[in-house]
Amino acid sequence: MAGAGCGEETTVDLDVRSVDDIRIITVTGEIDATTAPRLEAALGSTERGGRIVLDLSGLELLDSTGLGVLIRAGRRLREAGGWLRLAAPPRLVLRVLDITSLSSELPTHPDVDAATAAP
Amino acid sequence: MTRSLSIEIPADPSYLRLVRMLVAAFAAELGGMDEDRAAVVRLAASETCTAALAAVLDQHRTGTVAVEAALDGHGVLVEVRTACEESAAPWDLTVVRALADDVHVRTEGGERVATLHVASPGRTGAPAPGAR
Repeated sequence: MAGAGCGEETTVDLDVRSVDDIRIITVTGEIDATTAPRLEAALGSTERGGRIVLDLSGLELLDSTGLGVLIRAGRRLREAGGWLRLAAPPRLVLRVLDITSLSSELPTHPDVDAATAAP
Repeated sequence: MTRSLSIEIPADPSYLRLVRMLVAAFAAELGGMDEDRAAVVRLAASETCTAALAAVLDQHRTGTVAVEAALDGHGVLVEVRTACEESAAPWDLTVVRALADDVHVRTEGGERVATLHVASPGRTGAPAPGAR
């Protein structure tokens, strides 16, 4: 869904870097129906079987559209031998993952270092 | 002092952030909610509006979505309504139902109306029936 704009559009910054062969995507801002496609594109550009850490320390909102993007990306990566890990998710994101029983699909870690070092 | 908030937006997702900003400010400043509870109201309102917008767009229609927020003595009530055919698919409010203390959806007069309630700290439970 795309809008014509009202002056208060949702914004998100996606900073992508690589450490060794792990792609780290830092998300700053809000993920909703207007910005989820950008996140999906960033996650989708990773090679099959890639390993991604999503740094959510600057995330202000993640709605179900964004959650769907993460679930699809996590499954796609896992099926090809890779993984998607969430680093420093806000409390509300942890709560949503917990109540929707998606915690096992999207492993969370306190920070990027812990996510990259996890076995 | 105004104790309620009323917004009407076009069926355009670019207005979601505006709704979030206004509803969260209402919950925090007039509802006295802490950051965590205001964040719940913000996400729940955003999710409900997204469902309403999707319903309008799925029917290939232009239209508006009305959002009202009010204090009820127990917390914050948010009501989202839009014109909707009765045969339209149910709104996906999975996350809203998990986050809010009480969620109701009804159809009346050609509109679908979702009402959600988030309790304020120290005021548990849903509002009494008819409390508004």
